[in-house]
Amino acid sequence: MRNSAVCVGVALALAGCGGGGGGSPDPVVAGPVQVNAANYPLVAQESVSTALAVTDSSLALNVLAGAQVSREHLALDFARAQIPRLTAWFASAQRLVTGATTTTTVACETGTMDVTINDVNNNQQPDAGDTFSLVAHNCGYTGASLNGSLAFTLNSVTGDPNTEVFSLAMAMTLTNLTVTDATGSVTSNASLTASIASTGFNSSNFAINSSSYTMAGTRANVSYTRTLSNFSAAQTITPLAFGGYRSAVTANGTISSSGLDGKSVVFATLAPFISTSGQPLPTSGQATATGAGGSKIRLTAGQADNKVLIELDADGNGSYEASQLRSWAELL
Amino acid sequence: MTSSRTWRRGRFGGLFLGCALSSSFAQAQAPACGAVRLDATLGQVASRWQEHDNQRRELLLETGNLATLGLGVQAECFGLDWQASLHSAQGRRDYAGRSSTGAAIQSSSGIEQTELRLELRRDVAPQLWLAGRLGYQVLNRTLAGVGAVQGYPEQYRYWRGAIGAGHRLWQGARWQLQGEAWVGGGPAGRMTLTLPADDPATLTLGNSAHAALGLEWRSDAATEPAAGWSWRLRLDHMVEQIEAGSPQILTRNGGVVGAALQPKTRISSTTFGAGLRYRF
Repeated sequence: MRNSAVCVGVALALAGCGGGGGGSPDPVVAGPVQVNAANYPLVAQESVSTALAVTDSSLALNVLAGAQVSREHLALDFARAQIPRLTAWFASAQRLVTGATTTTTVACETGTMDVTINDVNNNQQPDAGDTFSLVAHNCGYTGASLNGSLAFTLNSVTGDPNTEVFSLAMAMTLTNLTVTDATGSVTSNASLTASIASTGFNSSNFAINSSSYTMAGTRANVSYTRTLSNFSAAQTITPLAFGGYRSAVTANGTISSSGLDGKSVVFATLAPFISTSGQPLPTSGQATATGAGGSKIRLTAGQADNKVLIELDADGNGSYEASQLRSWAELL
Repeated sequence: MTSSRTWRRGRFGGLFLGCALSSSFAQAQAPACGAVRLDATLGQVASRWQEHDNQRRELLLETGNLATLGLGVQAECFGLDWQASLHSAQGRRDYAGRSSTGAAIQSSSGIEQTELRLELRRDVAPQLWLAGRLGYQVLNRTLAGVGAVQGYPEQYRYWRGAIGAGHRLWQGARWQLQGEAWVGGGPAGRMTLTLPADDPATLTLGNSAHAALGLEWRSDAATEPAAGWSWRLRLDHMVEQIEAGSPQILTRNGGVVGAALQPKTRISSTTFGAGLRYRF
């Protein structure tokens, strides 16, 4: 697995659920949810699908086309698909006086997007201080249409992001990036920072932080929101001796969702979620999601048939009085 | 699997209904009714299923041969030829489509299809008849997963009606050849979608329209057919289009996880069948 693909996947997975930046209002959170026997499977589902699925988009549900099923992370996939083009865009940017920007209109599958490059030191390479942005105009991408913008500021760059040895730190903003498909639309607003250090094939560290980001959707006339606040995530990729890689993911932050009546839980990773290229669903790892009055669930991966143990501590006394086993597919 | 049980219940229920109807017809022929005929037909259908999104991009193509079985009972009553029949098809189609992440993928789908049909015909000239028919279709389609890309079952249920005309193209002392043409459609049906781990969702399909051509070579005489056995060979071709449905929210444990709709679907089938008929 290319390290750049891993890191960008994680970064943009986060970005796709984002919000709060770029002029969007801060999310309104109606306080912590009381976790109880009636809602703890739902709390687990909302927590895992928001915190882990967006941290590693490869975990998202992948089904055959038959019915057309909405893709909640399409904005992330779109952004990810643009990153490999970064070096070429800078290389093709016209040499201009310092501070000038170059805007090029690029054809999408349908529609267009405007690509603006600000190559601050005019060396036609992406490096610290450079910025680039994309503005989508009904830009067709795998059956959906995108509108809105993404803006990137490169804080540091060493090496070539298209190789296996490089480091990159950047700030990214999604502003009203709306993905419309046959089932409805989802608008993402996000402001975040991300960094990656890649030392070789299948060897990288990635970290991301966001004070707040929101994904607001309307599908089949039903509106919903998911918000992450004070969120941080990290993914460490290490090579395996016989090929492939091992992934360790942590995620921490406050998650609120219309599925929880707009209320929130605090997600905390106790032990990293470990998966491999051959077994993409985590086989170990533990996290808690804590709501009102210390009520919480504890998630433990690696149960029989690779299920996840969900335990409930409704009164916050540290004792888990109920539990269920669920498959990853039911949670992601 | 629930859909499979439902289909089997429907199929056996239909067979029971067919037997009951035929028995009723055979045992209680009113003076206003003529001889009762029973039909059984076996065959094979070359089936083709295509889906397109709202940008007219092809989402998938399925092709394959399905085994068919038809059972019917006919009688002339009140100057009309009445026919109740049950048609089923089963088999697998090859699937060439995409995963929900957009990757091209090859798989297969299992098909179990049943239609209960009522048909009325009236001779309007020595060589010509006009007809109308009404059918209720139940189609179970199970997409097979491939690796990490998961499959799932779907069940379609919809009504369709058609008007048609038939013409005796050739006739001899013991043989006749007739052709027929049908056009029709139906209101929006329903499709039950059971995605992995999600709550089952019922999607609304779009309206349907279809056209069909048929050719039948059969061994009974056109006039004054005798009681007893006869045989027939049929070749049918049908093209059907079901418009895209409306999106339906998907839930899991009651929480919204997304939405789905059934895209525009174009189905074509060419069926060859051989059958026996018994005339009381």
